[in-house]
Amino acid sequence: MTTQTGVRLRCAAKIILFLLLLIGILHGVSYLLQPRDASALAQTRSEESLRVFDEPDQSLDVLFFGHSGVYSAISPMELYKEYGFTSYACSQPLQLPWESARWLKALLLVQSPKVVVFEVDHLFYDKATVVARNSLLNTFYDVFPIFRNHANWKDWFGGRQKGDRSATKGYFYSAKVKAYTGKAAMQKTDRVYKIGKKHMKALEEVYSLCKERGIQLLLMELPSAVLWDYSRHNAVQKYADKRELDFIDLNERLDEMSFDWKTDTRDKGDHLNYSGAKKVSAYVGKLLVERYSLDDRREDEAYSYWKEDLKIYQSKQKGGRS
Amino acid sequence: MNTVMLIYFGVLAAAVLVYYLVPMRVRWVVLLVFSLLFSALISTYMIAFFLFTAVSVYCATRWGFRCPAEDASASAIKRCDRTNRLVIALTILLNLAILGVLKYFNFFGGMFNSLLSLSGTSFRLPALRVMLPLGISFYTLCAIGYMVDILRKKYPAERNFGKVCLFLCFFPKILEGPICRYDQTAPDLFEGHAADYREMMFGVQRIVWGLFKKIVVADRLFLLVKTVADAPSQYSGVASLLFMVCYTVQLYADFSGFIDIALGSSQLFGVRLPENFRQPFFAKSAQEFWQRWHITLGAWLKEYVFYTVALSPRVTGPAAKIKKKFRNHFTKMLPTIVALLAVWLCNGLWHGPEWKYIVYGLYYFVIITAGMLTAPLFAKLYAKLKIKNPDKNIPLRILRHVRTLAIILIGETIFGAHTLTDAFTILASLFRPYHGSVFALGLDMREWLVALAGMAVMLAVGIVKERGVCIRAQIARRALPVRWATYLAMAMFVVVFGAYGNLYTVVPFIYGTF
Repeated sequence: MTTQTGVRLRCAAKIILFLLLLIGILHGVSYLLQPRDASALAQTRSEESLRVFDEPDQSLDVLFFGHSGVYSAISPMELYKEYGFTSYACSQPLQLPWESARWLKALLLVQSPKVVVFEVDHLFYDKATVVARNSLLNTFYDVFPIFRNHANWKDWFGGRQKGDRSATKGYFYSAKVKAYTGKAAMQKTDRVYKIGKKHMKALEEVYSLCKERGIQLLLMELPSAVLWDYSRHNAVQKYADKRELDFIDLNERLDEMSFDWKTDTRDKGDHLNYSGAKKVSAYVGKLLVERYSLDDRREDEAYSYWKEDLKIYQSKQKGGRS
Repeated sequence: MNTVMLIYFGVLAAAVLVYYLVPMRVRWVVLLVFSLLFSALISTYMIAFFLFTAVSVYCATRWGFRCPAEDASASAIKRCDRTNRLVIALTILLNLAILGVLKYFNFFGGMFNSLLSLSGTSFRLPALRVMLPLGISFYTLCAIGYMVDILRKKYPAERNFGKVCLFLCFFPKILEGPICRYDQTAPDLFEGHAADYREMMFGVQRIVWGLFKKIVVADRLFLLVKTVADAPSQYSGVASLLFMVCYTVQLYADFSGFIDIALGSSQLFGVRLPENFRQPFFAKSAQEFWQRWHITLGAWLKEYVFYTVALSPRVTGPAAKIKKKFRNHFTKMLPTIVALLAVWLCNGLWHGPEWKYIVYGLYYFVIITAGMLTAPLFAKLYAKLKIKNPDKNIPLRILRHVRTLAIILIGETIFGAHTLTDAFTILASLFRPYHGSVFALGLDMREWLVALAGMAVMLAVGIVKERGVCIRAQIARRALPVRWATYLAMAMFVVVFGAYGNLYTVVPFIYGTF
């Protein structure tokens, strides 16, 4: 072996050893940062989403699941302010149905909601790129959970408090307005979109989890100008009929809630802004109270912390400009 | 971490791998392919603008450019020079026009529309809604510098179009610079480099250091900066002061952090890019600050704007006449002052089509000019106070540092506030008491602890570097366990304490938007 080859091999060996050491330490520290409760089972991609586990046990009446459309359109604090029931928007960007199912399963260990609202748009996240992206991310986080849980270092300075709740309850505030100026109404069709096998399996899992526990499952489509169409509507309606579930497509009720694509979206019809979220939350809240007779917690002493969170939420809306 | 950075690191990893697998003589082609790929991934179809610039620069310097024969007459040489100047000037104007339309159309169009509304006409220029091509402000400056250097006969024009392209769009520098000169960078870029363990390790260390600055410090401070910047009228006193300090540190950590990543990345290929920062907060004057901050932009403006204006007969002619009439310090400085005005206007405008950037540029123009004009007065004052060497007088040095820091903080407030009005609101609110808690400004106590620790590390590294010590070389001299422990600790600190993930906001690189 020449001297140069020897040097190269030694360098390569050193690099490999260093990387192995780094991976070992990453795993070791991952263990130190692992959440110690049900949140570890949820395996969500975002740390913000884990904050639903900071809510007191058995305290949430309604859980919303879905992709970014949910955290942009549903504000649990607006629902509480208007109708008094407690809820949480369990959603992440590009959330896939099996992520919702896994999250729900973990949450049901600590919560007993009356209603689960399943936003159906994410049943149609079936582009290979989206599925691959999320699978890749989830695999990466499974191998290196430290990248998901790294912010738990805060536990080392006083520990994660159960009361360290999110004041927005999963909602993402944005006052930006970027109007949608395309066609307002969906074109009716008899075509039925074929929901992917894996997506359908996840929906079935959610259905079974709710049925086993006597939870009302409501399928809902939030206002969506960009992706939603009637073939998808028909596919969900078909499933809802088969399982005798409620399905509400808010795109058919935009006029009832005075929704305006010119003022109520922050990115040309893909996501709603605060104005849109207020209208949708008001409509959805009324609908949920009427259908499922949810309790009003506003005067309940056990839920007084919602009042405190509401104050923080409102101060954020006043100060915000995002 | 933002998507651009994820793509960047993906491209970087693939490029390093391929670079060392292909024969030495075609390694520059690998850099070119990956640089174009990176630009195409980010800019998509807007890469056409970059290609247009590259083609125009190549054509102007290769085919439009004429070198007179050795035995050519003086008039033929003059004619040739005139043609060359015309070709280069037109190409520069063309490229500036592209930059102007894409970047400044809405700003100047808005002003034009305001004038139209005053005149009562209903006609309005429509707003242009286009995405800027990746790094347009950076590669345009590189292209102009290259063409002017060819015109000034500093070096011959590059014959290979691919190499011109690579010089302009080398992917580590296209996002935020540094703004390179051809003769500084090209030899390193085009020469194939053999893998060098030490160089590569230094490169990786520098990347990790850049990530530390960006993710641990800059993105964490952003939480406070955004809180105050979004509602400046709600804050005052300490909160406003914290905004000024935190934004200044955030901007430095963000920009110099990316420059560290860029320099470290290019070091992985054995390519050395010029430094862009040299402990700017240790400057004793505003002028010195700009010799330490965004060094390559300052050098570019000095070379291609300052000298061009200061030595232009249109400036020197009238200035000489005025000087003859009024002999004083001011008239002596006149060409310099005019050139400085051009430099600072360009500096402000280069940062973006907003009034706050123009005011930012003029702010430094006024301060630096005032410094130059009052220099004789201060010299007299020092003589009266019997201060023989002001640079060695400790109280005076402290005073100068504090003054310069105050100047920097005010400047960065103008730069960082959403609007000029917001900047004045923040500055005016400084002396009103703030009754809230500093922990209610976006950073809780634990976040503050990490932010302060990060800033303390940056300060310590700055002090050591200011003393001329190369920390990476120092670490490299230690025994292997010490070295590795240092690297691992640094990497783990970034992973654990980095302000990334959904609990934090994704913060794009600030200079990436210019």
